[in-house]
Amino acid sequence: MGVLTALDWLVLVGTLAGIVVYGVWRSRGARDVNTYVVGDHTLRWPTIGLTIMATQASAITFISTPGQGFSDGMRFVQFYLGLPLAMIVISAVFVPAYYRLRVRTAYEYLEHRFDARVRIFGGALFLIGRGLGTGITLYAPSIILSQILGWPLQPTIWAIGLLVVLYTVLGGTRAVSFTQQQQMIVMLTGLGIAAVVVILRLPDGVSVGGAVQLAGALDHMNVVSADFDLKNRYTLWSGLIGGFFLQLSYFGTDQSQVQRYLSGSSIAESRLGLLFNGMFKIPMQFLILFIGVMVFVFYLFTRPPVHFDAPRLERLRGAVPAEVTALEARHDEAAAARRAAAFAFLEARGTSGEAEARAALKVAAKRTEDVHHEAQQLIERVLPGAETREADHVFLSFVLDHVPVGLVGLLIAVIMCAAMSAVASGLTSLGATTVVDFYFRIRQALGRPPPDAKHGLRASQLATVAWGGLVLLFAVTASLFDNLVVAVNVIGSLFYGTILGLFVVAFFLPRVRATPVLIGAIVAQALVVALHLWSDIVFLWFNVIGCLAVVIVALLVPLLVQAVLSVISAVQKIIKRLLGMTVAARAIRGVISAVQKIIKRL
Amino acid sequence: MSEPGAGAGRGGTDEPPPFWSRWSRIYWFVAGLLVAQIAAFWLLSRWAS
Repeated sequence: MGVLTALDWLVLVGTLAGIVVYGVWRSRGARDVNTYVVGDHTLRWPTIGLTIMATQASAITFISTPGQGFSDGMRFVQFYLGLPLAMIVISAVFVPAYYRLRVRTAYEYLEHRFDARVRIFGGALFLIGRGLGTGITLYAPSIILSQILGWPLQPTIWAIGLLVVLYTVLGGTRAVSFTQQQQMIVMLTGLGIAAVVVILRLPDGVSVGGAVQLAGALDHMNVVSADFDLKNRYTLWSGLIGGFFLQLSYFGTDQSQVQRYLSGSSIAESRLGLLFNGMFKIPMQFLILFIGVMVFVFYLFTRPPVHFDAPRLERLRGAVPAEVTALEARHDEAAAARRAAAFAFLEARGTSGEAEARAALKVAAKRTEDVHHEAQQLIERVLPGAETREADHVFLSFVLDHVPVGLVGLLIAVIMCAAMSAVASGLTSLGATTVVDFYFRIRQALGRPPPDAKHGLRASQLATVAWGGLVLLFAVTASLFDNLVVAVNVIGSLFYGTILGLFVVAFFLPRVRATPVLIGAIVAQALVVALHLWSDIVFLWFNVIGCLAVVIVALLVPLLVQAVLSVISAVQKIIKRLLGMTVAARAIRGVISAVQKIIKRL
Repeated sequence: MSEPGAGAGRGGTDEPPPFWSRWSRIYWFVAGLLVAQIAAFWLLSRWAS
């Protein structure tokens, strides 16, 4: 298949197969549903920390994030600034509560604290969001890998999906943990190699410091911005506040993560695994973005393509060859001028001519960007409806064109490992929630005896297979619904605030009962959906708004009930005075008492 | 209520950390590291631009 050499294929297939075989072998012998869902409680904190990181790191992390660094600089790292604080709160509050009640899923806790309705509501929100999210986690890298590497899309989706379903069903959460540990090691190794390669590929005389200053001169080193703007997606404040709520919800209440740390050998191991993530997640994201920024600097000195989406550029060339040739000629000229300006800026650093060289570099960079923009406009005109965003293609283009043979296979393996680890966590959590929070609970409600170990295990495996089928079905049909893909990316953030609100009330407001919190959750969910449809607020803030709405409504409902009860009591007294003990008065008072009882149950 | 889960692992919920004897110290360390990272990012932004 053209793009990869035999050595790359050997590295790619060897890495993936080795990890899967190791994971299945280490996790053989799941005996019951508890072993399948939360393992046998033998995991130490380094494994837990790595599996937590691997679960969050999808293939998009390694495809899109360097592209984001390339096109938008470092500011995306602020998205993760709330994460360490969320890890502290989860370690201090959530983990002890889960351990105390010995729950297998986060939503099981909601029934202990409130009632079965709240558990089912929380579990259902999770299943919708995570089910769609896992489908996209499988679809998105497959389409990019198929476009760039020339692999057929459907077989790529099926190959990744079936492999993940296979080892997930065979070994349950233990197989997922063991494979994720190895996958994360491959990912970190690949990242390190990519960073070294891109730095070594810089021209002679361009140091890392010089490259960073070049990136800074072109506004790519804007790591922290203290501006407070609700419409600016990545600032210090949106990261610290909005990001805190998002990460608190994701790590504290999303079963795909809760399942990871509940498999620890003790509460201390679970906590340390979470805090490990809190310490290393930001540096990891910084490194991934930094690689993207260094790729940006690399292409200041090496001729970049006029558009990084090579298959689309070829389609364009086939349609309007003369226009593309003319565009490329102008692009080459602008890129050559930018290269000269970049060298001039490096020479002028620390001298009186630095400001002038910086201004000249910006002008040259603007010219290249203008030609680039023309290419995008040409694509829009000639190929209507085609995606013009190319950021997802930048890193893979660099890897294929400029990374040594063998390492290409390893870096493709990094992306596939990330896809597999995220999908595996999604599938096991979907299967666990379906069986523990719905199937077992419904059996219990129907008065059936608890299932035996074998029955429970088979039900869990069957649920995982069923979710695997649904996720695959969604992934193979996702290409039919381009807008749906965009929508699904937002769907997760629509639900997280409400789910977090349920848990915040559960942990911090011990006097609030089930019905007020359920009303609060329904109101909050409606509010967040309305804001998404009819406001410009960026999605990170939905987590804050959804959570606060649940808390406020859950607190207000009992006060409202109290007020209504006072009014009813007053009405009762008035009726007694006016009508005495007539039949009509008794009937009215009977109705009022019935209403009073219903409201009191709230 | 659902049946007893046997979900979470062994050990009490007030188990001390394997080092630094108190969890609050580890939490303060993680929070301090975050502050240091933000400060480093701010300095890097200023130096590079």
